[in-house]
Amino acid sequence: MINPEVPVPVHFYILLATLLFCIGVFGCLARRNAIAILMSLELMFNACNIVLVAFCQRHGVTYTLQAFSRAQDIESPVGQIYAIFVITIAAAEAAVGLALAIAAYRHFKSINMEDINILKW
Amino acid sequence: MRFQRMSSSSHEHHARGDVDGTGTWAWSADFQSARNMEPGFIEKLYRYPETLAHWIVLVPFLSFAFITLKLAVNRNVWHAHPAHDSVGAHGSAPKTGPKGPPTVWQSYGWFLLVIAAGIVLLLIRRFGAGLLIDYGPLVRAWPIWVLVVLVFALPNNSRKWIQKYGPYISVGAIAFSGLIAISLWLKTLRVGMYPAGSPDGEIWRQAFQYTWFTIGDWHLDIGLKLDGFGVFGAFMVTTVAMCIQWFSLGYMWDDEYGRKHIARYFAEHSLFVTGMLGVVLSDNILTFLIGWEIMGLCSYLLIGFFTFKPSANAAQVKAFITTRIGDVGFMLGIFLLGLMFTYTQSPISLNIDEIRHVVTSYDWWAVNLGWLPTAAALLIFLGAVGKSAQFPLHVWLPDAMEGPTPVSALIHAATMVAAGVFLVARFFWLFELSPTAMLTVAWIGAITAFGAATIGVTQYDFKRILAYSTISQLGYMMIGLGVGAVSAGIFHLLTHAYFKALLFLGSGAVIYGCRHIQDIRYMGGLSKRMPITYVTFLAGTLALAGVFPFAGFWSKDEILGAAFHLAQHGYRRIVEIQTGDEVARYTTQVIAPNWGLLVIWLLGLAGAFLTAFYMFRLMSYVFLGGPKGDYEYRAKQSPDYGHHPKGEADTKAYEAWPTPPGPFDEIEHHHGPIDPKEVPSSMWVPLVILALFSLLFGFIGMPFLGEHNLISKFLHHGHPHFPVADSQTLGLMLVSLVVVLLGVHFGLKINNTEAGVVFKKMLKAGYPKLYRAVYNKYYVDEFYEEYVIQPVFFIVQVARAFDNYIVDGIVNAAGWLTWQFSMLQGWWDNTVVDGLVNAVAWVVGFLSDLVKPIQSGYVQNYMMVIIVFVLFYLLTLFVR
Repeated sequence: MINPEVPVPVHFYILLATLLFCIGVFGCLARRNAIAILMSLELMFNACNIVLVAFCQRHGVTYTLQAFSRAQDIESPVGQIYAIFVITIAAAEAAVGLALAIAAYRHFKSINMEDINILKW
Repeated sequence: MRFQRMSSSSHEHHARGDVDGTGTWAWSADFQSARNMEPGFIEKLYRYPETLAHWIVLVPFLSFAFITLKLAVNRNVWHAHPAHDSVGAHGSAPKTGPKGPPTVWQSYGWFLLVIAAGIVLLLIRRFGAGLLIDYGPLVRAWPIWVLVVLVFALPNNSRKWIQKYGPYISVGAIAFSGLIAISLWLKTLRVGMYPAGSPDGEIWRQAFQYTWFTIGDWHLDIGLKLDGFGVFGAFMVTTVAMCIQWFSLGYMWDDEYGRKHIARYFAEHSLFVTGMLGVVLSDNILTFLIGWEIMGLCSYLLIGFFTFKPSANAAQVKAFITTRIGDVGFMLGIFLLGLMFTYTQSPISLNIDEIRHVVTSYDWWAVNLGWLPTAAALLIFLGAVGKSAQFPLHVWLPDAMEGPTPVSALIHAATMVAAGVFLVARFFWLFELSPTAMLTVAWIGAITAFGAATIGVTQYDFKRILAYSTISQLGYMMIGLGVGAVSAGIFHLLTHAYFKALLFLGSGAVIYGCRHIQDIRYMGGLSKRMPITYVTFLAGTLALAGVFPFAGFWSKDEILGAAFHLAQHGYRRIVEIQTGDEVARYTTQVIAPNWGLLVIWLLGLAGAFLTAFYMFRLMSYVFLGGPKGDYEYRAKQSPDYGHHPKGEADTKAYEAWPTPPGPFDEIEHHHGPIDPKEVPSSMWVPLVILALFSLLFGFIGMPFLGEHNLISKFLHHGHPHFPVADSQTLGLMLVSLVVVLLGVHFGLKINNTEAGVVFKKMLKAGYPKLYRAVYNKYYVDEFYEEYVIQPVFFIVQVARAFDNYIVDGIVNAAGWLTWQFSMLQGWWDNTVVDGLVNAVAWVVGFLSDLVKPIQSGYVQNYMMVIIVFVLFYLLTLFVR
């Protein structure tokens, strides 16, 4: 039933990514726990990664790599490289976010976002 | 530099022994260079004193500058010295000044600064070639650098040093000038003013000339005018000043206040001599005026030398202001000369000879401009009237006797007051253009000569009698000039300087002996106690009275003869018209013969009688007979006894002391005089020198000398006129001699014989109003008080009221208006401008309060906004 020769259409990936992103957005807006918000952020990052990788596979450039007497066609790995960057930065961001959460906790004795409202005028 | 020019003149060749007269030298080049070498000081002094002439003026000035700078630099040491703790010359005046001796920096700091400035100059010279600095003036000003080094580098830093040696520096400086002046005079006598075979004034052409400054094409040359007036004047000034300074050494040292301020005294003396020599030797109006004003300044300073005496303060101010009135006229006269230059369209010059050339080579009367020389001469004469104390500006001179007696001798008898006469003589070519000016001079002189003599008859103050005699004698000089006998006037100026200096120094000696008592009614019989003073004073008195053969006889008779000659023949002026090389010379009548002018001669003769009378009255009071009052008692009553008063209390006592204490008749004849002794030799030697001058100096101007009359030969105006001893001259001499001897006789008898005393009482009782008028100096001071000073004070009050109420009112009104306007502006600023600004701020605050809640501080709100707007944006993408 599933033909491996036929690639998954790209709008499937986009749909998945949109779904993930919307879940992340919802989580960011609706959750009160700072850790949960960070987790929702991770969801949005991952939605982006999916889009990157999917578009790279579908629309990526093919290079001819010439080494000595052999030539080999390879597909561009840019999408994957970007995804790895995003993952790395997401990890760093998560570290910063958790540190902020801890600092906020130390200050407010809470990580409930409704208690943290000093980010104004 | 000057000397090299001189070496090349033809005159030089003869003087230096160019025996063959070819002007070429067969000797070696060494000899040639030796010939061009500058001669030594002694040789210059003998052969070329004119090359040293500028030192006559400079050396006294350097002496003044040295003493003054030294006093200024060492000013901080005097009070610190424990020996001078009682220096309170001003009594209760608080002592000020540093507590300890000066530091090295205080003593030598200025010198270091000068050294630094020199180093800077050298550096500029070495490295600053592009700065184009002219070092000539700095190099030529080497006496100043020497002076600075002497002042700041001498290894002494106490005021005591200059107080001790300053007087000797001053006397030495005058002596040095005198040396040059005498050699100049001797060379004049030896060579003559106009040596044969050379153009006029050739021998003096090498004298000091200097371009002071240049403005465009015009440049101001200053220099020395070494004509007969200058040479004889410098001779007289330096010799008299030398004697008087010599005398001052003893006189001022005797006085307690004078001893403490002796350096200042001598510095001012030196400055005065500078000014007087500047007047005498100047060849241009500018330096003439500078010297003239320096003299006025020094007169002011020295009259008020005893600064604690209110009378001296008043007298100095009076003298200064009165002479200033004359000086205004002098200045206006100079400006009128400038106006005359513009009429003739000549380039402006300040040189007296050039002014003379321009003014006299133009016939002012022919173009109806005769008022110009008349007005200029009268205005210049006003300066002379102020300086020479002629009527009506004579009032300051008797008061000027408040100064120390040697000052009276030098400034207010011998030199400064004669400068007015000298001024008229210098500008006589201007006066003789106008009969009005000449006759004004003559009449003012006659009135002054006679009027002052009458006042002198009634006075009792020793120095005031001499002061009035000075005024009277200056009147004689003015008569001489006014009648056209310039040489006679200047002759009398010279002889008068000697014998009047002698008389004043004699009065100083008497005052010294009598413990600063000046009222002659307390004196008497001093001939036995002060024989040298007596003999010398007698010589001066005989000279002043005009007794044969003393100096005053010759000069006064010359003047009286000239006055008689004026009435007889009038005055004729020599006019020279130069066409090419030819000079046409003719005379023109300025003043017509008029026997009415004999009144001038009669006034002079009456003045001569009165002069002899009051001088021998003075002699009989002071030197002859016996003591006339209780010196000891009277003297001890006086705060003047033995010292000068100091401090406020003493000043009040000084004011309270009545002088004169009462009429002569009320003085009780007690016998118990203080013991006046002869003055020390340092004071009588100058007296003897001056007495010799008073005896001998007149002989150089005797009418018997003919062509050898030195006065007529050198002190003439235009062309020499040698008086001849004809029968008229001898007759006039005889008349005046008889008159003078009558005066001598009456003067000796008026107080010493019964008939004389009776006559005097008869006169006083018979003409009380006349006597009081004369005794009170014809109420001239009161007249000025009433009609000049009070109106001036009234004007002053009006002006003060104007200033206080109008000018100050305007200023205050402006201030009040400014205040009110600023109040208004402040209200506007506070209310309207600030209100607008605050309103804007309030609106902004109000609006921001409205929108502020949007920024809630909740991160999720912000995120929501972002997402909403992103969605909205996406919506706009799809919904086109």
